[in-house]
Amino acid sequence: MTPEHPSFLALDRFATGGSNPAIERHIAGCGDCRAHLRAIGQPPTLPAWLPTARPRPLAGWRPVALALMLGVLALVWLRRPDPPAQPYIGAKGPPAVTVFVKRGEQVTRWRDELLQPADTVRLGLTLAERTHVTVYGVAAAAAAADGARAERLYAGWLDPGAPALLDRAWTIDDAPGPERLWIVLGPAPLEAPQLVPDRDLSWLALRPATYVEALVLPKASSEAGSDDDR
Amino acid sequence: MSEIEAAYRRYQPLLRAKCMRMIGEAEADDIVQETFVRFVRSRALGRAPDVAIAWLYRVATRLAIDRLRARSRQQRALDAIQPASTLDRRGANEARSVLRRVAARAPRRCIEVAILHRIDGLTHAEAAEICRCSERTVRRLLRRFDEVAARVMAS
Repeated sequence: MTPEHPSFLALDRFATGGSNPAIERHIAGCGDCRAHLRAIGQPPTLPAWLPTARPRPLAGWRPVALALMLGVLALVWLRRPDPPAQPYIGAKGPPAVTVFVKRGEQVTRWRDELLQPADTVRLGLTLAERTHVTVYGVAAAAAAADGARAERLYAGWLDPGAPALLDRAWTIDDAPGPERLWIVLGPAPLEAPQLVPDRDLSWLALRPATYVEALVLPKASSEAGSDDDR
Repeated sequence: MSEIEAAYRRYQPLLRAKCMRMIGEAEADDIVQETFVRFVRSRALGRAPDVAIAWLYRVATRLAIDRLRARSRQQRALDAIQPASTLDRRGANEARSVLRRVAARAPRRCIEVAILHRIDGLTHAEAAEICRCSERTVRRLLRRFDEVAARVMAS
């Protein structure tokens, strides 16, 4: 603003209805400013191009569209899944059975080698969820007979682990023939204290979420016996 | 009377007066038309007069700068610009003369602030409102304009 006059902006705002006592006092004594107000107070002639000046059809929708877009983004942001506190590591797929052999003071994982009398065998299970475990076994001497019954050696629940070890171990005897074990894994306990493996286990395996693993653990004595027979 | 016609009747006179102060009668009507068409298409059309006038000042000033710079580049007869006679403020003629010579050299923002302050007589606060910046920035831009103007005038 010059010392003498209000700015043109202030005068223009005053002319369009703005209230400003300081400007009112000024224009009362200023011919230049009154002249400006008179000039801009003259109604203009409407030009020929004016009817062609039209608002953009969707101009009014811009804020609405923007608000909607922000709303959707906020919704997506708020509903995004929380990241896990720590990465989940677990078993995938059907359970896996691992045999651990203790010979003397050394524990190794069984890899189809011959077992020795007095070896101790323990089972480890890799499970994806809490599972009921039943282990059946049949005496080596009776295993060869058709319809031999297997006795329940272990029954209990196991939690997922990598692997979860049974709290039971079996010692290998010196009887001829391999040791045979059947491990039944399922969502519920089995009632039968005995079963006939060839007959019953195939049906058990058909139950939902039930797995049957048959283990044949060859023994050195049985191999030696076979050699003697030849 | 439509809203557009009412706006034209209300704002065209002050808009034309501003364009004449900035760039002279020869091109004032072109800038008035271009500014008003943009105004109709903007959201400022339905706003309160204070807001609408600020919008018109801002856009008209920038369009006038485009013209001044183009004219300067084309070396057309700069002196064809006529002063706005009785509506002028003290010092505005000199400012306009300087502006014509430095239009192509000074940054646009500096020219914008110089027009608003030196020709339209806006205070620093009013210029800051129109340019959407701080008063401190207005003062800095004016100093920059004066530095460029001094160099141009000296050469």
